[in-house]
Amino acid sequence: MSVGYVTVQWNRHKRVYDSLVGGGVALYLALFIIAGKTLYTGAHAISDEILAIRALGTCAYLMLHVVLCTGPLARLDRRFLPLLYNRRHLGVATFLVALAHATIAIGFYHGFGNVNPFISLLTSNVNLGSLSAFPFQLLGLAALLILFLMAATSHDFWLKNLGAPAWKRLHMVVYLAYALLVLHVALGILQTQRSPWLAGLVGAGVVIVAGLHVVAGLRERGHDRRGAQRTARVNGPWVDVGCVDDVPDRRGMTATVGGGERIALFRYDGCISATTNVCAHQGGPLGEGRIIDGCVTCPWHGWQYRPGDGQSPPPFTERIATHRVRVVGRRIQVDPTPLAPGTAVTPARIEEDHHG
Amino acid sequence: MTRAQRRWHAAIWLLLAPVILYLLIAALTARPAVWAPPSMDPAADPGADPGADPGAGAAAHETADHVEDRP
Repeated sequence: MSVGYVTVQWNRHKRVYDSLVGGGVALYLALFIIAGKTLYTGAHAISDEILAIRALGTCAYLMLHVVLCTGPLARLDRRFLPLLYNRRHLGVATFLVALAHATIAIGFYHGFGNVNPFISLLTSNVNLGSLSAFPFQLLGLAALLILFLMAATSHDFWLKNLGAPAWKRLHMVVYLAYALLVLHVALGILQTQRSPWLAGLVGAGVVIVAGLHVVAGLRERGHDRRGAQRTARVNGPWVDVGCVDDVPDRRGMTATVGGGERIALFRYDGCISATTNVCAHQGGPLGEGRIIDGCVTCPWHGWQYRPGDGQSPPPFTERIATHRVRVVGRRIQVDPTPLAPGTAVTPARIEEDHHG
Repeated sequence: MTRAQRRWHAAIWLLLAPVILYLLIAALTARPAVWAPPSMDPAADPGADPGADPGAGAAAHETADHVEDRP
């Protein structure tokens, strides 16, 4: 989080991560080109330009798989959270590699005629009714434009001005870009490269990306159902959501009440506070976060809020909804109706003499 | 994520995955075969007799070979 907008939000972690990504991309391209030069010689030799086009294209395609798998992997296993923290930079890097692939491909295949390369790209193949001769480059161009939109709006300026829900919806268009790229590959290189391994890898990529999203979704639904079964309405608005011993010290726990958003519960300094589980930044699960420096810290990107009133510590201005909470014996009871974002609520004190 | 966003993600992939896989398989099966059987389309061989038995030429060739082999 930051008070003002900066071009690129680098810190030590992101610099290390970006160095690894840059080094990984360079290593992949070098290995691909060396392998292409070594394996295809003589009459089967591949030109430098085509090798570069294929190396950059496969690299961007693989990077997009990593970008798409990061979200569900982080929901399934906390060890992938560092990837989620750095996903924005990987997404922009994916666009840059894809742009390099497109630039060389358009220059190589459309740059030597007497027609503008972009006019040639748009008009040289109009076999829209044929699958085997389909103008697959147009699918790649459409996907590249979407990736550009994603990269250009991958900035807190757009997140703040569009609002988190609209920004999230906009960035779900990347799934359409992925579908277009699968078809770009299937109707392009797979029409001439007959290796079943290549086709199998493309299919496996689709199954992995889609499967991870569906499995993560099913797990979240199961979590909601089990959570709803654990809660029980007591008197008035109060709902019993669990025991104070279920909440680790300086950590969070989530509770599902009815069909509403999850409620995050935090235990710290002998107290329990309750806020919404949805981070104001990108909807991260606050209840899976920790209390750091006295603040609820989102596990996704580290945004912080004071547990007592849901406000980010100064000079930050973000606010989240809070919930009334009380402790009866060792049981935690919350009012599931959210209070206005930033509303102060007295934390419920845990009676420690009952403990142990 | 909000409850609605979680549902949207799962719904999109439940719909998108079969569509992508179907189009991928359609694209792969639409590829022209590397080894193609001889065309039965008369237009592909303008010199051929459209009314002729496709096997007649081969049979006649075999007969001619057989005749030549005779002493």
